Amino acid sequence: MTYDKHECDLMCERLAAYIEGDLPPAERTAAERHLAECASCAEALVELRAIAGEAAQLPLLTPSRDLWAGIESRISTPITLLDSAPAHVRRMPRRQWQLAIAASALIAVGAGAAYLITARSGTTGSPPVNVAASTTVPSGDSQRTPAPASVQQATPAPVPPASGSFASHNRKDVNVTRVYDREIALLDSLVHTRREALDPKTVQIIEHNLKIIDRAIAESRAALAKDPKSPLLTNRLDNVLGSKVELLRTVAFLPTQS
Amino acid sequence: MFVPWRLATLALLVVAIPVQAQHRNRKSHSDARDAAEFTLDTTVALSRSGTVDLQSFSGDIAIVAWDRNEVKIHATSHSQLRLDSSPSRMSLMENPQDHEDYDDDDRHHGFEISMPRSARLVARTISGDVQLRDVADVEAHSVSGDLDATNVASHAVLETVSGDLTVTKVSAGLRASSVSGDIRARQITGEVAAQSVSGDVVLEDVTSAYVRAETVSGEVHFSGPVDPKGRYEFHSHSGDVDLDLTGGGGDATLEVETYSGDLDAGCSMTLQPGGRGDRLGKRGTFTIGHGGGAHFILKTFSGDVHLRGCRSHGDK
Repeated sequence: MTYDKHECDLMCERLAAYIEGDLPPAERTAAERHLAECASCAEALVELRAIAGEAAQLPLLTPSRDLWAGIESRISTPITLLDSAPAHVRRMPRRQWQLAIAASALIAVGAGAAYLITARSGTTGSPPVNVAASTTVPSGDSQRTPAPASVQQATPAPVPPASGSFASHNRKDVNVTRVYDREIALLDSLVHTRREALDPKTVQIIEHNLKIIDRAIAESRAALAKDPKSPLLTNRLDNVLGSKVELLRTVAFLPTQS
Repeated sequence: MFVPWRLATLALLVVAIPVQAQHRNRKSHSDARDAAEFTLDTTVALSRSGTVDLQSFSGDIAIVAWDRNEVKIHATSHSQLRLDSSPSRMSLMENPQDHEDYDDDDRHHGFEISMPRSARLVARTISGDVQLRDVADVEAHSVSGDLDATNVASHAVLETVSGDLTVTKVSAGLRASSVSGDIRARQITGEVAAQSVSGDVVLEDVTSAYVRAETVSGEVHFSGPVDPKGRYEFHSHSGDVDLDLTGGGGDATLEVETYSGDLDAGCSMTLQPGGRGDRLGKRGTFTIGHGGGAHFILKTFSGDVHLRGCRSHGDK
């Protein structure tokens, strides 16, 4: 039996629920019948199960940022498809599905990154502050808080003790950097394939902003090299690396005119 | 073979109305290129909890809400238009296969939509602007066009790459992002998350217990009443962070960190033990007023942190 595009799209939308066993009995029966009779949807099921299997190997976590909503909105509402479109356009749902799979893979990698970041921030966060032992900075214009000076006069904070040795701390940094680098490389290749389809002005703006981020990454890394244990610099580097990942994700899912 | 579930699905299927063109005109362009023009003027029924889905390329989209359970459409395009309508969803989109670059002409093309006040709106353009007013629940995306939303009764999600984003009066939260465009939001109630790469993020008159704004090279500005139990996070790499608590920042705790920037505080603050300031950066936790209260996190790499409008300890 052959199914039309709309039925296959609906099936693909329900695949995740099907795998999770969340479909009501009637819908599950219908889905099983569809998957038994439709080769492309069955193939999609196999791919999704493979990704789910790989994702299951990752530790459970709560990502520090809500990245999925933006990605989902982009992959779930592609630029229009017309029934009267030529045959090669009919392959779009398959492409969308591949994009969805690619996005899922990226999410899996991102989840790993978020886990490592979360794990790291737990060991390098600011130490607890003793509020009771505060020192009041006088008010008034003449004595307006020269905050930087005040901060400079403060006793240097003890370096927060790492949960492991310094060597293990550095290993975690390296791991996080590798995870980011891997995700950025994946996204870079995805973006590269889409570059031609994007408006040249948009590409120019994106490249300009990638340079801004790369400069920020370089500055953060240079500063971190001088003070490898600085939570501020570690967080700054995480933030700008995260910004680069988000920008590349945005570009990866930008709509095109073709 | 038709089985009940398929019949039910078919019964619920959207009534597709492929609109090839109500009017098809040929007209001459300044560059002597002929182009088709498609226009659509119609009104369709939509439940008040329905969804309006609009997709255009370079034409502008203008949406207003009204009290009828109908969607009124006036659309003109160089591309064929497709309208799908059911009681719960109306979608209008241009055919990407028809689209060519009509940048100049598309200034005069686009969608003008009136929709039920409480329906959900999803709008996407590539280079067109989106302007919407009085809609309840909004999701709008543009690549290079500007997004302008006014009086959103519920939640707004707005994204653009190089366009500017202007939001006025949102009642239940805002998520906004841009790459190089500026984000300007005022009179926002509910959780706010805004981020840009090189654009500024300006949040004014925001009433929220959770605000997060982040940019790499742009500046971040925040003003508004402060929720004593609120959490406010502002990050910039090289841009300044400007915090104006004139609207009622009584007691608060601020975590301030900057590597090479300065902190400029327009009121007295109490530095808590554990602060640090040397050639490798400045970090400190401060309290204003009686301390406690709202929690601010202000972090930059090389940008300055400006704090003004806060109440000094002992002020009334």
